[in-house]
Amino acid sequence: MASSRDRASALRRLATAYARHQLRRWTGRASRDGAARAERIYKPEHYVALTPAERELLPALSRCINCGICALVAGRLGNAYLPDLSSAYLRPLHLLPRLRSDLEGPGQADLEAAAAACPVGVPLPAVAAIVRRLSNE
Amino acid sequence: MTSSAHDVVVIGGGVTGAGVARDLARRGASVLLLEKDDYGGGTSGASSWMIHGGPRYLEFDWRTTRLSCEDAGKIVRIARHMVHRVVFLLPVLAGDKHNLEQLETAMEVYDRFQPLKLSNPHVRLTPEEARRLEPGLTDHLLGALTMEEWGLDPHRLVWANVQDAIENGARASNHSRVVDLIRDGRQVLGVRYRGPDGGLHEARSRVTVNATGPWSGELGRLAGVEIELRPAKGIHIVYDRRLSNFAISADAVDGRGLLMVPHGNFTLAGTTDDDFYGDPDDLEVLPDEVDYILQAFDRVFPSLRRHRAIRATAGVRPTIFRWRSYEDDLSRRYEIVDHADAPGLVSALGGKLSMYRLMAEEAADLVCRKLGIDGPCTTGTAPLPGSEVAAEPPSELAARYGISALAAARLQTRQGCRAPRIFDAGDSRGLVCRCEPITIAELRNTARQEQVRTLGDAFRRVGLATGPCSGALCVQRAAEVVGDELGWSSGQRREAAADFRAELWLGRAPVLDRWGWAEQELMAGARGRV
Repeated sequence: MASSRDRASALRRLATAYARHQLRRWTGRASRDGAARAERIYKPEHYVALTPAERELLPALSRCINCGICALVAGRLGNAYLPDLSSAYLRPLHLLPRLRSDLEGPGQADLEAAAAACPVGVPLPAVAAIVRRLSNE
Repeated sequence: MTSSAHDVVVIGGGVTGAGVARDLARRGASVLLLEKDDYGGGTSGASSWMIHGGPRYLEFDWRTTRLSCEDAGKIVRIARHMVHRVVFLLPVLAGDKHNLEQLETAMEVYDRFQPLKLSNPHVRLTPEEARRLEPGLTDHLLGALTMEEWGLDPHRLVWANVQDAIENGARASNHSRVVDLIRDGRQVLGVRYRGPDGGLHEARSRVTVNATGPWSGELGRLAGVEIELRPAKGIHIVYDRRLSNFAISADAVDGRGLLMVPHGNFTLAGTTDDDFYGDPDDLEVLPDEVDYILQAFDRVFPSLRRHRAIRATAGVRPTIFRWRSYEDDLSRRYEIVDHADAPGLVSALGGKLSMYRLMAEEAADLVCRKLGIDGPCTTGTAPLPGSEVAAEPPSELAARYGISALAAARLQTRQGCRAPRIFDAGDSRGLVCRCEPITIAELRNTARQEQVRTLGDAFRRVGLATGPCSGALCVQRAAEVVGDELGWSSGQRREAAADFRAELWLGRAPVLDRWGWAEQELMAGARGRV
């Protein structure tokens, strides 16, 4: 358990760090271009951002109740079974670039028809578009 | 009644007990590990699934931050197949507990410790830059910072420790409840326990380790010693997918810091931290606890309520007792107690997931001194099973075994470089569970090799029914596969499926939205129960 001496020492060192930090801010030596730096650091691990439009759509993509009707209507997208797009693929977003082989293949699903048949209104063309975009990042 | 003799009996198969068993087995002690339910099924599994360095300790004690970061780094190295980087966006809003400059000061200090755990330094973001990385953040931001920690599946971490202990000569048994201690006066000489077969067994030991977390007081009473904890309940809400590639922090109404953390293919939001006086075996998630979490994120990530929560988890932290401290300020540090009033009994109390290895090392050091064993601790350098070498790209594994790259990638997070062994027995590569996804071969293997004795055990070991359908599509199929391996009758398979559905329902009911209810109705209908 931290003693009161440890605590006092921790707070004193934080106060010194705070003074140094403020000095750096005042002298303009603080770092710039944060988003670009963050994107550069995390892109190799495929930690990419959703677009504002994708962010807005995402809750609707979670409506799938796994009834399987879309698969009866439209089959597969590449090698992926259609209901899996939302229930399995659009979940580990950072892994999608490593899963491209699943999405390439003979299946050419009629996504509009599948979406029209969906009893809960999952926008399947949008699901497929996001999965494809993230897998190509 | 059967009888056995060991150097050490470790009671409790959470991350601490599993870590102690692994450490002692690697040093050459003969070890028996007993878990009353399933490995990692208590506090460990209900955690935030994070190995973190503890930036909050910078206000209290920098040594704890250093120790925590050093040990997090060791865990990242020995468990590389199961860890993933967690990149936080720490948004700052007007009225937050810490302003942007204070928070960045803390991050500048924390950056000094980050290399210890193979993490990058922080980045400062303007409101526009933060919203570029995560468009769901509120437009009332003053700015944000990035910060890195590591995530992993604690169930797999616990099992990997148990597995390594077994590979180094230990015996381990889940569903084995200690019902009494063997004593000679005050001296503790071992345990009596009811095994998974329901039979009563006796195990004598030179040292008995109490690693039972929030159940420590109960175990202490069997030895006639008082162990005082201040248990704290914490819940998390589980969302159906990675809602973002970035984790987000939020201040709750009472100033506590909450986290929304993307893990492999789902997101955890939490946690609460409330004094708990009840039975840790009987936890319930309350609507108020769910609302407390959602309220905090309304302020920074308003769309969270529109996302699909699929269940909630609850656990009890075994915090060391301290009077007159606000729950959240209580240290997560640990104590290893050599009970003078009950010679032969050692308790490992307190602690947190991030420091489990260090805590286990110190407990093992004490036990080894008592046993006269002077083998060095190797748990900080020896890889856990599956992390011996880097795993191949998932598309290669997929092509070789005729499974999807998604199934291969998820399998590798559980098995690492040992993933191909799953297919050695020639079992079917068809899927049992599509959301996760899990192959029949993996489920059969876990039933054969990983002490899966119930479908709940498969939930923890391979993620059965953890996806958006919450078992609607896979439970019956899984009961057939596991039942086939374990020799269940058709009645036992039905019963196992029904028990598991009831268990899942307890976590689902408090958080279901209308789509969740629709799915529930659909599946009840499909089973002919409308």
